[in-house]
Amino acid sequence: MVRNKKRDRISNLPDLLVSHILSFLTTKEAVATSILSSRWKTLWTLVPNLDLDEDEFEWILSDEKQNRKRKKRVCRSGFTFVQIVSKIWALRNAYPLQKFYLNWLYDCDPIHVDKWVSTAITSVLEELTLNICPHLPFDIPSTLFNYCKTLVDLRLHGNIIVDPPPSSLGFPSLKILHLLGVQYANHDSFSRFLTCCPILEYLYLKVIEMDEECNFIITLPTLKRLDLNMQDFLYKLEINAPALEYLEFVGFLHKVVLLENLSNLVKAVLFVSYDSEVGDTEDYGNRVMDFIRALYNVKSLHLGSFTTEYLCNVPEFDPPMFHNLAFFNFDFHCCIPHVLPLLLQRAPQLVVLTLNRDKGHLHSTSEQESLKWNFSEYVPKCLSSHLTALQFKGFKGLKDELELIGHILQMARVLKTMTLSSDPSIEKEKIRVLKELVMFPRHSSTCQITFN
Amino acid sequence: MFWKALKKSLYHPNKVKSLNKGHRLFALSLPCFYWRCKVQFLINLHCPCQMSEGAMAVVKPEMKSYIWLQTADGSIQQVEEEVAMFCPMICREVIQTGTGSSKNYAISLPQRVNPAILGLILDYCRFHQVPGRSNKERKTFDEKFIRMDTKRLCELTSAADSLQLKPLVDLTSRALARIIEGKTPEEIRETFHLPDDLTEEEKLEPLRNITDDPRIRLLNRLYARKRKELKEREKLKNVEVEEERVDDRSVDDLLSFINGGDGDTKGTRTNKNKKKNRRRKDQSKDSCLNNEMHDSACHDGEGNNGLLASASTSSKLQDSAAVTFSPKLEFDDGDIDDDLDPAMKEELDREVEDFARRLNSVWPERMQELFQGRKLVPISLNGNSAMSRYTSLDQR
Repeated sequence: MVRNKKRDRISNLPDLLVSHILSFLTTKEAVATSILSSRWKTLWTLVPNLDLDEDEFEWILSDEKQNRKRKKRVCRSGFTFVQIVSKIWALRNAYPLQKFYLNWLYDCDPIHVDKWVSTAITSVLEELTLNICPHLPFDIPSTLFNYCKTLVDLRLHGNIIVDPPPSSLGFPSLKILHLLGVQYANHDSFSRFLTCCPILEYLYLKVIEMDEECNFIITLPTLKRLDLNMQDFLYKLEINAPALEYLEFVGFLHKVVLLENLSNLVKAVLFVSYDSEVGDTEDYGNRVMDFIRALYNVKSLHLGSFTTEYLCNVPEFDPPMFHNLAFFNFDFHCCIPHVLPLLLQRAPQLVVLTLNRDKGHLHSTSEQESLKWNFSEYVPKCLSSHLTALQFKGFKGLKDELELIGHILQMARVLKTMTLSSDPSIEKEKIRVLKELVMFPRHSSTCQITFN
Repeated sequence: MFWKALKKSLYHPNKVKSLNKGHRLFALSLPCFYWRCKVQFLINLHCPCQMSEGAMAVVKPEMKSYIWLQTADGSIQQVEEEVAMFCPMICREVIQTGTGSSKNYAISLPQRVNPAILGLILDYCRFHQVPGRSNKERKTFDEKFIRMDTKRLCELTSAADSLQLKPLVDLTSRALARIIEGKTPEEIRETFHLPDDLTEEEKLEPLRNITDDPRIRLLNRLYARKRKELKEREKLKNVEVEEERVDDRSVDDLLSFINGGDGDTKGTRTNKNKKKNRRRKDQSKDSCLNNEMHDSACHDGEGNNGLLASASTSSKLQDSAAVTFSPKLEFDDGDIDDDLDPAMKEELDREVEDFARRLNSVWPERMQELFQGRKLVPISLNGNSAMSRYTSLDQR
């Protein structure tokens, strides 16, 4: 009797609704539902998403010792990735796709990729992600530039050649664009690509080693977020994005980097890479300084450990006034860079200061100068009126750290919390350090020190 | 007389005053004059169906307006207007046909909506139609709201779909997807009470090769299991090996042991991505190598964790006899298990167990060899941590 009442509930749902549910699963799981019952046999083919991810399968090397020079990689039931994907395409009856995601690195064949991508490019495609590593560079089909009016999210990662045709209709709906390690057919391919994206909001650009100098001129009035990862020196970079709110730069900073019109920037992250070959550290330091000068209006700033170290090499260190800076993340390694006090001086509205000691860097370009704490003249305004939280990660209890904390405690009038996360190497010393810390005079009566 | 009454009601100080000619003419065309005022109210507000605080203030507080809804079983409910109007379907019915104003003119809801489910939907609408809520509040509410048994969840999805309440459809669909995720087909059938009405042949399609010799398949599976176990053991070893740089000849021995000389199971995936970025500060979000390590580390959690825990807690690694290689390391066969009949399954399990037993007998001796021969092995500097760990072991 109970069995009669246990009716199949999910069958009452219409096909489209079930396929909507299946669209939240990975393709592999969705296809697996085809063996549930006769009704479910073809429901997965109505899902408008396809994510073909080689990482979802368990691979073994096949045992076929035929004429092949190397073994094919197959899943447990003996199929290669190509066979699986081809079968999936065949069974789907070309139901239009909204999202297509391909992650294929091992034994990637560009011919198959071309076939699949060309099939995926329809007038309803909204998201396209390719993460491939073919043995020959893969040419993006030109139909991408002409038939993707609804494309919102495009991510190309890998050995892909981009060559926008001269008269392309472009991407009128594209908001997110990732170009990671992509190669450009001509000098102006990148610029042409960007002109096809009138409403772009997020650009993530990663540049790997190029044969010749490339120009990256990013003039996008709607751009809100820009992530740059430059792993090469041969580039020319120009950024003109008045609506930009978030900027991240990782990598090598070249001579010709122009930043204009970043007055709306809210948060900036700068992680310049360590370059063992740079001869003139002063010059490099100046480049970093010029970059930071353009960020004068940010509310939140995060400087990496090499960045702050290069700043120490600038002969006449004169940072701009950071009028709006409220959150400052300052990374360093070895010793606290002497530029910190002056930076605090120039950030009158600073509310949270986070210091982070990076582990494991053995290089050091600057000599260890002692911190210049010339605060007898005037106490930095942020310390006397705004700073409410100080965080120190990787605290080691060294002399210069204690000195810094001592100074700040003395001057910070409205400091509420000081959080110290210690480096694991000072377990034994913790108690001694804590005792010292507690003895420091505090200007703020409500200050609480927590030690992790 | 009718017209006078209408004018009186229209110009009543507590009702909306800003009615223009067009509105009035439209209002006259509707059957119920009380309802006419309401409609004009709404026209002024240009539905989408959320009322602002200001507009609400115009209506007298006691005169809270209700909409009448009728479910398929005939029962009629009275719902606050702003709550009901959150549903696009109800909103449309109200605007286009003017129903819902009284008990006699209740809006009939689609068949898929029963009274209990309607109650749930209205709870959802009641919460979300308030404009001032933060995203976090809404999310917390959603998470609590969605906790119900599967049967009810299906009904709710169906009802939300028929009322075209898209946010609720997405919420419930995601919840159902999470239920389906990670389950075997039998478990899914169990959860949703689906009939198991496909033949074995049909189950093997589309991704199976029907013409495969079952013995070959068995062999493949056996190899796969062995390789997988080895891989896991290797990774386990590598976790410690990386710090001590122990000679790994013994792993190759094991490989040749089962494969009869074919020791090529390491590194099933070559790293094809060019890694010229030697000097780069390690900010890379994704790289081939990361993917590979992540994949191999992401094996079945239970088996691995258990082994890892026992390995790391024993500082004296001679205790590794405790680290037995349990053949019960299960992995997700998914739908592949269905095709083997029990006899073959048993045979397979027996073979794997045999193999594991052989491995277990050999392993403790091998471990002894490893650690006695350790001092002769060159140490490569792998960052400060490797050195310190090595020296700390020496101090034992």
